[in-house]
Amino acid sequence: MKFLLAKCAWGTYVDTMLTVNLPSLLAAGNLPALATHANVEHLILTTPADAAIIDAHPVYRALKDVVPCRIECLPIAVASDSYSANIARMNEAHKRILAECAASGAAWLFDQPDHVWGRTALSYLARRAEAGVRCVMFAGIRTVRETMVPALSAWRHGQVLDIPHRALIGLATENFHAHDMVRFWGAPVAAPWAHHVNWRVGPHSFLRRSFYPQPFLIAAPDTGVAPSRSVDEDFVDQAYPDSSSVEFAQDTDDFAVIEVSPRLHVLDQHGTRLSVPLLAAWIDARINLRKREYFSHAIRFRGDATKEARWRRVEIFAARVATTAERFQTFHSVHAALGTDRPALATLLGRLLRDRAAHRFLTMPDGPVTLLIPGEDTIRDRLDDDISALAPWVADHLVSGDQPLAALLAAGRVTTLGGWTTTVGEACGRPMIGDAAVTDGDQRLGTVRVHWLTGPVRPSAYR
Amino acid sequence: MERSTLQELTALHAVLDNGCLDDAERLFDSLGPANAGRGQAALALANGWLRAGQTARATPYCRILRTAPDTAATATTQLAQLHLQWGRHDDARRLIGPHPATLAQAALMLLATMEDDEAAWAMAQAAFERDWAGHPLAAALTGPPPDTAERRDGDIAHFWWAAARLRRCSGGGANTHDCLRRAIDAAPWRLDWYLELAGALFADMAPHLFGRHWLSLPVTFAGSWRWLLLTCRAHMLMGPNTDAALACCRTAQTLDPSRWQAFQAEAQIMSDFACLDHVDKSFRQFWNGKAKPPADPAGRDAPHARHRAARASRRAITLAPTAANWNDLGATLFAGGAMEAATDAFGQALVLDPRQRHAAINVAVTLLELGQFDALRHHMAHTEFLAPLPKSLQPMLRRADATDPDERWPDIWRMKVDYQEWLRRTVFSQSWWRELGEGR
Repeated sequence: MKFLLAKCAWGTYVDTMLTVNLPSLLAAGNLPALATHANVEHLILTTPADAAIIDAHPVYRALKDVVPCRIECLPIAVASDSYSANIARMNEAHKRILAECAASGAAWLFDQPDHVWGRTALSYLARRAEAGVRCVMFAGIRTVRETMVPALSAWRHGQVLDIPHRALIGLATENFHAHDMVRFWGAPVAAPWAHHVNWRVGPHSFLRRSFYPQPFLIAAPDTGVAPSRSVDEDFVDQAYPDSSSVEFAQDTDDFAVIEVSPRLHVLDQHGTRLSVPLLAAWIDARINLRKREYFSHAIRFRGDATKEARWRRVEIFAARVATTAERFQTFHSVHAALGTDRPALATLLGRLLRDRAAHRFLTMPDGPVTLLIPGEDTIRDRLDDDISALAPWVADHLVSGDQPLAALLAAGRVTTLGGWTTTVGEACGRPMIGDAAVTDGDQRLGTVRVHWLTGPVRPSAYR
Repeated sequence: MERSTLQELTALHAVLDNGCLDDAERLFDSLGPANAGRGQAALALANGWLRAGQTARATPYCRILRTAPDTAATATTQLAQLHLQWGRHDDARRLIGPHPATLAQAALMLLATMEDDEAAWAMAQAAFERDWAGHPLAAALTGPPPDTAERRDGDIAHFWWAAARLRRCSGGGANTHDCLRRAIDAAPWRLDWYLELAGALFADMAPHLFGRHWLSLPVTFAGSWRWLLLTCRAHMLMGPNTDAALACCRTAQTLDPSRWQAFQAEAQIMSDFACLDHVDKSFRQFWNGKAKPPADPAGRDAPHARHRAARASRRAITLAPTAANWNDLGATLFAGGAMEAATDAFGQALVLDPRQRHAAINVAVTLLELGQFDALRHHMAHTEFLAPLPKSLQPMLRRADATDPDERWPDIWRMKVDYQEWLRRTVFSQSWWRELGEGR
């Protein structure tokens, strides 16, 4: 099997690459192991000035002793050092690598100059590729370069940086970059941009779910697809439209790569703690179905010997958070579909979607739901309720499943999510659900079936 | 122009920008009568005295312009541009006369005419287009600037300066910036044009362009505190290159310790570090829970950045106790996690100026972050907000005492939920660099 381990690097990234990235690739379980049984080449795309620096460096010479190496110069002019210019330049380099892999039939082992590889990470990728997996995804940790690089020195022997995965993750948890700190569930300062969410598990371990994992193995992608902004934006979605082609590395005991970044790199703006409503709002605004599927894969970052029972508890909790945020998309879809003629309903949904406690009083089922919506005046009377009363009242107007009116009439009764069971029948030629007449049945708000009622489903003694 | 002459002119412009006219005259005298840049140096001094409002002190230097070898041939154009820079349109028109001799003079005459009345402007423009139609540079006044600098016209720099001013009058934008940039390329010692370019970019709300333009300009003016601070701003925008930005503002502080802008710049830069320190400390408290926190050999718990930022901001307040500076102290303190102190600073800003639009909102954000909802509701009810509220505050517009349900639950509740409603940040006034672009 043919592999091309390729990356682009220029400017300040060259020093990082020479200091930690290339030495970590020289660990016995990485390129040296791969070279014994596979056709592997190492490629760096860079500027002419940086090419000379790289070529002269002892670590690069050591690399050339292990695998065939190539440095190619980027033809595009260096117009600016701004962040967006760097991203554009990187994308052009990645397109070139993809074209070369397509022409040669090689699988791209994706690398960045600020990656530090655990001692057997490449071997894992090679095994998966040889097993026929076309794409392996992972979401690495970002650490502070200024403190992480000195911390790694204990694992350096000559030009080689050979660090076991648990030690790497353990060190990483002591040198988290702010970019990752502000995405921990429960941390007091968080970023509203929930690219990924982490849950602390042990003193040096945590669980991660990510909307934007990166591909580390790219083999036989659909042709003609190129990254638009970066490979973790939408490239994999388009290159592997069948999500079953994509595998996730879900345990750092198998695969571990971390990033080192300057402390001030990409400052986030901050807000309050992560919460279900925030996560749900982020998903609604920014996350397509494919990215939601990525988020369903949890990755164990193991830096210590935390017991399995603890891992399971956190995984169950994290899954519940993810599921709840996902199921509240129903309300987002209904909210988005409302016009201006239902202000009380819009306000009620707005409250529900913003209150961090709402989901504790309203458990949404898996799958579709049907809404039984009373008139505006009835809703307006409830708007000032505390969420502990409002959310259960909403639950009494939700039915599990997509329930056409005819089916409800045929059943003769309905049980709401709130556990209230009432009769469904007819009076004076009009369908009735409990004490309320159906004014307009089988309508749609977004993807949700709605039956509009004259009043609440449950009698006024509810309060 | 020779490098040594360029350096001399650059240093002179820097001294003049610092307002040290007597020092500038001594520097001029040291150049000697045979200096290759004597005319340009005289022009700089004339400019400096006119800016100081002392026309009589400018007059001898205007005379030198006409005799110095480097400006004799173009003295009319140089002086006309100088008059226009200070709004002396009649003097400029008198100098050029009814028949401009060069394209640059024609452009300056057009500029001199344009503020009088539409009829005069139309006649001047028609004459310009008739007389200079076909000249490659003429198109630069109306279309995009040509790619190659036309050097047949000896006072090309002034042509581009006039073109920039004319473009600004008809809407500004990228063509104005390009024309000013060409003027600077032709006369790279003209610090005043660099500052005019900065002002144009800020006025056109193009901070990203400012960073790119500024750092690629041909000459540095390390002796000018204004240039240093604009360079500091450019480094903050590009990268950011924090080390270079800090070096610039600290040099500016040393050059002129009375410039509050230099201290506020340092405060704003250091507040990013303070913010990171705050995130770091609060995260490690969360991570370690009840366990004793590990030793801190990296010194990450030391409030170094927060103290430095606050100290610099307080120095700015000492030098200029404005509402904007008090607001910026509050933003600095907020970034470092000192919420109560931030509230006090924002409050002081509002005492000085109840219409300080940043502080009015920043107080509310800080009260929201502190969970002081009663105080927040009182503030929201009794404050006139002169800038749009951030999304985080819009739900607080709810008035619990209103009888009309639509007033109790205003529009935001009916609107699509935005994840940015969970954002908590305060904003700096940015006055320290905006005023530089305005020449203050």
